[in-house]
Amino acid sequence: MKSTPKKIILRSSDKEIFEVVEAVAMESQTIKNLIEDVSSDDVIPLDNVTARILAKVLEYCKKHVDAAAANENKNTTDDELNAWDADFVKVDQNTLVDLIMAANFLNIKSLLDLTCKTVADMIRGKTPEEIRQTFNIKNDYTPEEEEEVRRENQWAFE
Amino acid sequence: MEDLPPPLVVDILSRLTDSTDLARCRLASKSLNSLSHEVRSVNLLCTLSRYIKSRSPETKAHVTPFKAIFNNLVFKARCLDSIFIGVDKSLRDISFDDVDDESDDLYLSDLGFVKEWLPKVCGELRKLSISDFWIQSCWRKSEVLSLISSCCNDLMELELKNAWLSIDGLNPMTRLTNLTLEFIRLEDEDLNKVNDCFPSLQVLNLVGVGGLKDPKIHLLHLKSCMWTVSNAPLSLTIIAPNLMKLRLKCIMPKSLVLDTPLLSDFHLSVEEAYDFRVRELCNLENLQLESSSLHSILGMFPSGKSIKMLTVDSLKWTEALETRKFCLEALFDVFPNVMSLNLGPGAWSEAEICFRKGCLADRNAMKELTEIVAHLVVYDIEVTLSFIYSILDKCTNLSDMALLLHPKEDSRAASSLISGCTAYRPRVKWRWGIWKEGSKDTWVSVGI
Repeated sequence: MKSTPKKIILRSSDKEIFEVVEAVAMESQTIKNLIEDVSSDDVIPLDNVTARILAKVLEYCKKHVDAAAANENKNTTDDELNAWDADFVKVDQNTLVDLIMAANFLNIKSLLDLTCKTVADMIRGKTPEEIRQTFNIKNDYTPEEEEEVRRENQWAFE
Repeated sequence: MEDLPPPLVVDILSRLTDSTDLARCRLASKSLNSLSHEVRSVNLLCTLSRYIKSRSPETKAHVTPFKAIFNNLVFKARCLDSIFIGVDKSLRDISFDDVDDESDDLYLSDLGFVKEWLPKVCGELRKLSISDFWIQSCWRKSEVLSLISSCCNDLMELELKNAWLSIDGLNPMTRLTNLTLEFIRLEDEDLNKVNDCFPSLQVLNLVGVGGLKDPKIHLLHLKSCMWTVSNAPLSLTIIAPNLMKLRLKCIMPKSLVLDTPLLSDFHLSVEEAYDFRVRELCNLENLQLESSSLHSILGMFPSGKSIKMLTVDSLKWTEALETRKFCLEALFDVFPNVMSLNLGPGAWSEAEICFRKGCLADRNAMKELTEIVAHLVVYDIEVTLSFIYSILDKCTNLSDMALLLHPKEDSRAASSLISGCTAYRPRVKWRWGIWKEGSKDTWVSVGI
């Protein structure tokens, strides 16, 4: 009987190998389903996630698995974990977008919620021009089109 | 943002809790505009500033009527599963004296208004929340429950606030699992209609619901309940065989009857209970108790051998403190297996007075108790210290002591407290903090 927890081997799109304990890997529903299909010693290829992003995702999963284990016998609040999460998403926009895509592909609901909510928080309270600037979005309206959309949504600027 | 596939963009836009932000996104780009209509929720709040602008003679011509904005949003959306329409909480503070017209532009539970949009969306609607404007709704009885119950067949969550609701024509809503009624005048004295028409409820929140006489909650599937009763002697009954979590706040009920065998998390706040009848609560693990008559409530409580986490406080404890009779022994008797105990300032003061009148009796120690969090009120530092020492002597397995002081206490008392305690039991993990009425407890590292 093994006394060490089972390790799962993951390979990023740029061929880097990551070894993690099963519990951490299983935070991803996608990986969980794959584990059940392949034999235990195979490497699981994740062609949609680069090493840089996979490292961050695994850091998130490990933190959450550890926190859940520590909280099992107590009625502690999640303040510390929430603070950690808030720091975790203080990254540049490209990384944030990559994390959203990875969380979506790997099917990690809590990470998807965290990253999407972060972007939603960045939109909140901004004017259209500020939204464009924050996300580098091109204004593809003609002046007449923009005028019409503005009239339809005038109430949001009152 | 432009790299993200459309479904993820819609996911993000769906997390904007205000449709105003969504509307502003529409102007950012054409694709955001078209994706915004895929968002399946409308959340429209009338802010105080909008209200004021709509009344002020200089600005009111430029303010789009609130109901028109809402109707537009609903009609433009492709498919809606969640609707929230309401007025900001700050509008509750507007006094009747400041309003002298009979307008209904913000009367949101008006049947005529709801009829304009609900039939279009009722097929897919899962969540509906209407937070009305009390000034315009409190004197108009609304038949809206009849409409909602007849057309929203798949509604799962319903929340209605600040309205006067008639139950005439209320049909059963068998899919509804969550119901919240807050500051509602309900024409259902004993809650019979509520029990009959919402049989599948798992979550029921009744906060400040008036018009009740001898209300009885009787729901087979109820798991979580919050009930805040503001007026005086009603008899309250809850029969809920699957209830796990209950938050009950009342003042002086004539009688309080609980038949909730699976209850595991109970927060009870009651000033005085004359007739408190509760069957065994064998599954109760977490209990929070607040009362102005702690001693007598404890006497009425069935023995709580299963309780592991206990929070106790006294209400109105500054009144007639010397006559209070709550003491820690009584607590230990009723709840012998508590592992973690939290004492509010009132409970601490009462217990300390009891201690002053006679040492902690030589009864069986609380062996299971490992953690105490106490909000101290210091009258005499020596008495407080000896009370703490006797608790430490009695509860031999205490490993964590967290003591909070009020900012009013002087720093000398604080330092004698800290040095006295840590010297008496250095192996205990001591934590120190500050408590204040109306604020969250804050913790400090030693060296106050």
